[in-house]
Amino acid sequence: MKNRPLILLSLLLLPAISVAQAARIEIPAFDGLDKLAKESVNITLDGDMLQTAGRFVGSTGAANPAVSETLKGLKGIYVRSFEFDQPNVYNKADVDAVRAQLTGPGWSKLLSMHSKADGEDVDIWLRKDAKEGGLVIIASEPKELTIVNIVGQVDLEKLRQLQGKFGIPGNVGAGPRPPSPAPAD
Amino acid sequence: MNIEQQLRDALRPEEPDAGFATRLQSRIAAQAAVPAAPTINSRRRWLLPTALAATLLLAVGIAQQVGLRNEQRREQQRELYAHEQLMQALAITSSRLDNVHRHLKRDFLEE
Repeated sequence: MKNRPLILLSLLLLPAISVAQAARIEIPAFDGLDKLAKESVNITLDGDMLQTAGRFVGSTGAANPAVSETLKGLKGIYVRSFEFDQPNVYNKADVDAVRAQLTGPGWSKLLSMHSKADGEDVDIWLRKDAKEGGLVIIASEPKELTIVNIVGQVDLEKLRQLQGKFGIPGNVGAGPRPPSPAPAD
Repeated sequence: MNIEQQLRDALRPEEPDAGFATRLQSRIAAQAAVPAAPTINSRRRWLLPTALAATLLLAVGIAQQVGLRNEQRREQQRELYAHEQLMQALAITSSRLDNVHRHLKRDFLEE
């Protein structure tokens, strides 16, 4: 009986916590897939790391205000990307599991594009939430898979315009170079 | 005066004058009050601990500087790593969005 106020408080806070987490989706682990891939990228930039990266962008001067501007309002960036030599290496059920998370309230599908030329499917979901927006891009081809999840208020046009500018290479898939190994803490 | 008499005169005990004892005591007291100048031995006694203490302080100072530099280097590496990750994430995202944009634009123009 003594714990009743605590339980009540937890029940009241639970929806708030789930709203805060909702813009971040659960990206599958894709165990062992990076070993089968020609190129793979696994980027997790959450609060602390994003702030650190933002400080670095800020400290490199006013040469890239567009990057700094894009970073404003972002709380996390999560990217998994694979490029394979052979087609159909990744499990489509994993991709469907990501799509299933986006059928919930808050998410709306912005567009779904299929390219007949290269068999590429691109789906974009947006979350327009006053507290926390979000973006999910799933780009899948027979030999390529990319999942991007951005948490925070996203400006798509600003993001798109970054391509090929301020040292951001244009037209990349899984990326031509793997990032440097994470520094030991 | 023969030599014997001369010796007796020379070695005859004489009583000191009246203020001799007082002067002697005051001089002894004055000498005792002045600290003895440090000898070479007493200086050597302090030399080793002083040198050890100075070395220790120097070592602590150098260790602190090295630690600070290492910490700064780690922080710089972390910033660089985060920056690289950010640039790659933005590159992938903007590239995908731009592909979609170009497809949509082309389809629109074809129609």
